[in-house]
Amino acid sequence: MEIKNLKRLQTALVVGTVSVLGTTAGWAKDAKVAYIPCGQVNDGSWSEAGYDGVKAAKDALAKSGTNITIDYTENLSPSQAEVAARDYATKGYQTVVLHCGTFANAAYNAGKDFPNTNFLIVVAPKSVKNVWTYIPAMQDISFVAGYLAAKMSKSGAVGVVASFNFSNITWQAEGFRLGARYGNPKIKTYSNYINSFDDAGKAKEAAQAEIDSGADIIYSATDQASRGIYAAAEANGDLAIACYSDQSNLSPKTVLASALANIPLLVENMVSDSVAGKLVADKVYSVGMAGGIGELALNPELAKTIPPEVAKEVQSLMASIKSGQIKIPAFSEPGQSEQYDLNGLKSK
Amino acid sequence: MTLSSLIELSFWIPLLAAGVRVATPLVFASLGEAVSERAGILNVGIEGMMALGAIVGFLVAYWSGHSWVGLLAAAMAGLVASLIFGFLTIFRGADQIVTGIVMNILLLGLSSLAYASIFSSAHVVAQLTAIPVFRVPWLSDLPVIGRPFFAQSPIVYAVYLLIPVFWLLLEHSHWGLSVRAAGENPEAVDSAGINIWYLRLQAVSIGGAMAGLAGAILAVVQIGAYVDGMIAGRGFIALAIVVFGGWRPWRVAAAALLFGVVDAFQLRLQVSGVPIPSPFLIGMPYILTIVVVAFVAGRAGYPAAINKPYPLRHFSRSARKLIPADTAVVHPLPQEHS
Repeated sequence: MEIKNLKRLQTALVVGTVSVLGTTAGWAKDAKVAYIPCGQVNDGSWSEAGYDGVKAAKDALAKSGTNITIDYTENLSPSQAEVAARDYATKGYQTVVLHCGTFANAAYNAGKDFPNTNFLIVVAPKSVKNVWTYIPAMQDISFVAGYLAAKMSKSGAVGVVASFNFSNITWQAEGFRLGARYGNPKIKTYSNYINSFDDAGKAKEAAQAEIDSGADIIYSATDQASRGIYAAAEANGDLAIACYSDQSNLSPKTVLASALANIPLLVENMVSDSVAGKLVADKVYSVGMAGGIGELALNPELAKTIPPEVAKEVQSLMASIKSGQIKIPAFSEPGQSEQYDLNGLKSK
Repeated sequence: MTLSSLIELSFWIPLLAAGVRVATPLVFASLGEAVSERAGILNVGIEGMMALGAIVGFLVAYWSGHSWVGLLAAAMAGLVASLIFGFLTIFRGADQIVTGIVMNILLLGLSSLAYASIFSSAHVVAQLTAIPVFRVPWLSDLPVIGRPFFAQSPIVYAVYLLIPVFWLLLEHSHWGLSVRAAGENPEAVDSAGINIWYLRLQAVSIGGAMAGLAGAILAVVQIGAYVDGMIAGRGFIALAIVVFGGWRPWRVAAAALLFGVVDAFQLRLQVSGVPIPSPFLIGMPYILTIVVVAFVAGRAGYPAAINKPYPLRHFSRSARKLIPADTAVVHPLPQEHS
């Protein structure tokens, strides 16, 4: 009799503990999120923008009761990034964010071996199973930047210095050149690829090469190497348009405007959805101005040099793109923007 | 800008000017490394020392408000780093290449860490005020070469002075003779009673100081900012340029200029819209360097005693007393070049 009661007590205790644990595990939804960028999280550009997004996701999720802890590993090469991604997945991280265009293979490879972890990779060819790609469709705001540059150019030529010749970055560079043509059909546009995110010296010489060919406004489609572009523009009394973050105070007399990608918003939405399990399978999250990705921040010091009618035209252009009246194509090859028929921009 | 403009001077003059700019930090690093290698020390760590020079130079220039103070501090930082490297390789017999790689990893990481810890957000750090270009009064009006060579930042003129200084030092001074002997035939230097270990340390210190200075020139003078990863392999290019230039100062400078011109040329080709894929164009200067090094290294070759630590047998006075007089090996000193 006593033994049977003891056994019942034991069973009750076990069942009771497990059910309590089960429900508390359901309440305390903690997740670990890892962030792996190309550069440093304080680079004032691409990598910092992504990190701000992950932090914003943490705040947003905390409001709805989910606590996430963020860990990051900076400055990795693509092979190192794969090792890091696998490492995080092994340690039970729920979401691993690979915030660099060159990390695509790292994401796919790690994704295959760790099906229970969500991998978010920026600017990759496709989303497959547990790997989702998010793409800031930068060609929209780059188009606007090109338009502004063409209107402000005194020499009739503008240029773009870009890091690598792959999808998202080429879309940006060619989007700028197309926008310049839209602003001034007779404009000459140049592009240069330096194959680096951080070789500021090469960026400077690339910008100088374009300036020597007559360009007087240079668009930066590099990350931290953009410092070199500002140095070249300063040395020649020319202007530059920055990218990814507001870089007006890095070079107040040179940076006319900054094409904000609002990368933080994109990353925030992706991380929040990933932790909440809301990501749609096999969907490529390519977001342009219609989705909030793309703003133009003017340099307060230089904004007064922009004629009011130009400023109005820029605003109405941005509104047209946001509403979908004008669709900016994504060019993957340098030079394609030169042949494109501008009439094709307005969607019928 | 079309391909036909390639024959116009308006293409070549800015190109040459760009070549000089690109070459300037490379010449600093290569001249120093040439001295170091002639003494028998191969310093693969100049990439890291350049990064150290860049961050130290930038920080000191930023805080003090004077660029030249930053350059001086960077040279000292490079010197200290090379003293560590020299101590390990000369006095502890560590393999020079492995130690150099370790120095690279250490110093590149240290530079990143320093910048990341000191500046919590890059938004705060504006460009340093640029040093204005100085046009040399009569020389900058010369046709073709006037603008590229004599309308540059003052640091470029410093290079013009340094090249003959290094040439005289290395090829026409007693110290230079001992250094060259130390790299070809260390036993001869030792037999002559010269402290070969300190001699090599002096050579490697010059190399390190010049590397630190090169990095600072890139950050402080040319860009006006520190960017993580900004050295981007220039230290390794300097190693190749030293071989390319046959370890002789004038030729090393010419090799650096050629590299700079080819690099500037490929950028201008891209601008002209020539239908060659950009990755190939970007690779041009590096491919050229590999090709030349492959042909040059075969003929001239590194100094004979490179990467061979000279044993510390007779370093201390007490050890010297134990060596019998007739065991010293005497080799003829290398012929002095005219």
